[in-house]
Amino acid sequence: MPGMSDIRFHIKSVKQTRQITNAMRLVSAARMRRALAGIQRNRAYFFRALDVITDIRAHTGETEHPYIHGREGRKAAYIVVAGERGLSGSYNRDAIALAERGMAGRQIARLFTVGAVATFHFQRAGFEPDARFERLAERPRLEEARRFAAILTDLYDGGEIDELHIVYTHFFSTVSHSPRDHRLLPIELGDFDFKRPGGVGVRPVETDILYDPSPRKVLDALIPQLIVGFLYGAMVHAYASENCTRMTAMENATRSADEMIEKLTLKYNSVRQLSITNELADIIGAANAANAAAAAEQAVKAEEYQA
Amino acid sequence: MAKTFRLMVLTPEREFFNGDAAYVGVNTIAGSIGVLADHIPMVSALDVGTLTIRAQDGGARTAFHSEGFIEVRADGVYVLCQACEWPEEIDEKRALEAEHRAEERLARPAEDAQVFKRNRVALMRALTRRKIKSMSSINTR
Repeated sequence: MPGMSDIRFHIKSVKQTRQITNAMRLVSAARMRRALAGIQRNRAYFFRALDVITDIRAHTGETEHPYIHGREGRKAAYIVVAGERGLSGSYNRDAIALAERGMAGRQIARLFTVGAVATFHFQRAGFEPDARFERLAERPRLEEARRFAAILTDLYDGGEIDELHIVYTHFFSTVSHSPRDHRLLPIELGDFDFKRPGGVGVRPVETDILYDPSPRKVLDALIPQLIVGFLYGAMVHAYASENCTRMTAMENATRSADEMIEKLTLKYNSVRQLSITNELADIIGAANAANAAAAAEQAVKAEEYQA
Repeated sequence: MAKTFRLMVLTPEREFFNGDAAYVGVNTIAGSIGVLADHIPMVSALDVGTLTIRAQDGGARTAFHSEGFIEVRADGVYVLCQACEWPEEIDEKRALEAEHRAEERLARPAEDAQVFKRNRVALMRALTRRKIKSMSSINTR
């Protein structure tokens, strides 16, 4: 049976932990909201660009373009997007596991990591990333997405890689987000449809569009931009998902702390009650014994008197 | 009064402009163009340049736009670019630094055409940003 001071100490430490988890929950919620606004804004841009490319393809038939039609080679590059820190449930583990599954069957020529957790994971596995982008998901900046996209398209243009994959966690809603292995190059246009929010259908193709200076030139300029837009969007999605999972994890932790505090308080009270009862029993026992002794003494005295 | 059309200017980061306009001017890879209401459907890729939006009452505003594209459709005109900034949002110091950086890189012999092209675009971005900034400060004086 633990003593009262032990339990009191335990309650105090659980309360402190609860304060931390609760604060983290609030911070994640705020960050998630910020990232969600970013997703909304990015979505409009992304689908416009996608629609235009779809239009061009519809107008010009099967336009030959190295970014659309793949090559024979098997050299792949992977971008793995995970968090900067843990305490976010299964977020990091799920994304990295999916990346490893995808990488297993391919010849990996380049590896890029976004977020410290992904970087450390692959370093531990003896796989030094070619470039690490720390804190890119936390505060995505277009400049950096553009620089990153330039590195990637250069590798592809130069024949260093034949396909490019990005593994990030797609945010569908606060209760649903899942890691996704998406091929960015060569682009599979149909692949993007999963992102289309409900109700936003593929728009009708406009006839007789003038492409200035030519469909091919417009396509050349457009596809790299789609990649920049997608990279930026993936960062925003990953960050929203990370904070959402962290928020849920911290909510659970706070709830468990509450339950634990309640249980410990009950236990503390019963131990306290028990000790009071014991003390009372002691006092009453002692008092009874004293009374009995006094009564016996009186009896002896009375006997002596009579004699 | 000039006829207006719906204009939307989007970047991956934000909705830059959404409203009615009588005229919009941008720099495309084929040269600078201006679009009025009832333009034929058209798509073109944008270079770095100046975005001019004229409202129905004739008041015009200029802004910086980077690479992107413009789409003219029956239901409106859509300008999508990677970055768009009003003159007051342009960070002149950063643009100047970027300009020096790009100039320095361009002065060295370029390793390949891609790198050269990228540096040239970076220089264009910096120069255009500074030009728009300085033009707006003259106007407001």
